[in-house]
Amino acid sequence: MNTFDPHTSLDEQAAYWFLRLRENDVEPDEIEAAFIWQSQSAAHFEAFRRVKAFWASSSGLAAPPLPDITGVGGLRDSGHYGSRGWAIAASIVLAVAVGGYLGFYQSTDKPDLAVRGTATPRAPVAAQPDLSDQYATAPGENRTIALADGSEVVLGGASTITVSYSATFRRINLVVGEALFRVQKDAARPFLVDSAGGETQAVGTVFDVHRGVDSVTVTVVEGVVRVQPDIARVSSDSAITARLAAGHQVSYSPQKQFGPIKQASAEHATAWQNGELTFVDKSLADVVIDLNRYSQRPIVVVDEGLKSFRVTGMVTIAKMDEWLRAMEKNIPIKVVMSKDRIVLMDRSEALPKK
Amino acid sequence: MHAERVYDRGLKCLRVLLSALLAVSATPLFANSLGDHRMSFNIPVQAMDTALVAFAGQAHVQLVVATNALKGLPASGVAGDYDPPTALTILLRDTGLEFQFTGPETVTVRPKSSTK
Repeated sequence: MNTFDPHTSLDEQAAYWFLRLRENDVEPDEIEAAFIWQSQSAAHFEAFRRVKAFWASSSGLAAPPLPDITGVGGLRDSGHYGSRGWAIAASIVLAVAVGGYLGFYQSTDKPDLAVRGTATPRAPVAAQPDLSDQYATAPGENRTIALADGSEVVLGGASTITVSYSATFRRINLVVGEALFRVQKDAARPFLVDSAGGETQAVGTVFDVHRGVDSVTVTVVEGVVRVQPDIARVSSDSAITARLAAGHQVSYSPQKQFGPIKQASAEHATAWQNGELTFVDKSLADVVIDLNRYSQRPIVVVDEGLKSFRVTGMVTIAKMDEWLRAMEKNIPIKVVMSKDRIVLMDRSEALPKK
Repeated sequence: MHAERVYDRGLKCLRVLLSALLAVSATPLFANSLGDHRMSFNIPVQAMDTALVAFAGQAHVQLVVATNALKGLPASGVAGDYDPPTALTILLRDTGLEFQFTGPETVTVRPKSSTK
């Protein structure tokens, strides 16, 4: 079904999918087919967007709920879609994912990514024994690693991954630190990222995995991923599996259950690539772990009580010392900088005792 | 001996006070250097913690705040062309919070001191 006469213009095809998606009896696999149609090329994506824009302007209707199959519209075009529109879009995206693990590539308004998603399919990688490669960065170093299947990993400072590919899966282990994954679409080989007692599965998406002191945080930039703590597999409790769409974030830890799925700014979560670290209500211990992945001198928190102090902010890596000094003015903390390390202590401890 | 120490303490306090005063009076200086830079802000209505991080990202200024000072406050958004101090003033309006630039590109946010 759904093969178009070769003479049908892209716009007509786009209009077909656009209208089909609005009908009540649209089937889940048609939504998937619409995804795939739209992801064929930047031109397909653009045609769909054009039809959508045309509909909105000509009908004068205040945006009846159209599934936003791009999955990114709700995030990027927040001016056009209210949160309700976004929720609907997200639910559709999620509904598609529920059916099984479907291979669709989320097209995007970044042409380079859209094109990458539709590049001539690579020859299937021959079945290989489980070869595992390790990549590690030094403190302060960000590095982009091209993987054998065309996927890309941007590794943050002082971070380590191992990569093992087989005929049936692509498996990464985030041993320490943070990494952003741009996954080449390959429905036959799910892309799995293990970290600290949990696994993130993707088919063709962009997402960030951050390993903190006692939890792992997954943020989806594009597409959909599935996050599953190891205990879910052991206890066969499938209820504790999270499906995340673009702009969603979840944390898990080996000890505790899943945190709630939150709306999160993908921009903030990936700002580290541009030398900026963002923290929204993080413990000082978590903040310092991240700073240490970029700091020239190790930062040490000497007072246990201080480690749980909650901090919000943004650090420019190149001006970390200035940030620490600012923290000293705002938080009951004493910063002692020496040649080879930076010590953070409770200000009351730093004062001579009476 | 004892009196001398008390005197020393007094001097120290005075020095601390003076440097604090200097820091406060230096604030407009930093604010002015940023004040020349109008830039486009688009911070939607959201929680104050994420709104402040969004501000920092858009203005490219470092930010530090103790989360508990924000008390879960909501933030009304900021949209339009402003210099960073003005945008932050709008963001913090009627929240009982104030900001201080501790450097040309570093800002802290805290509850307004009761004297103000």
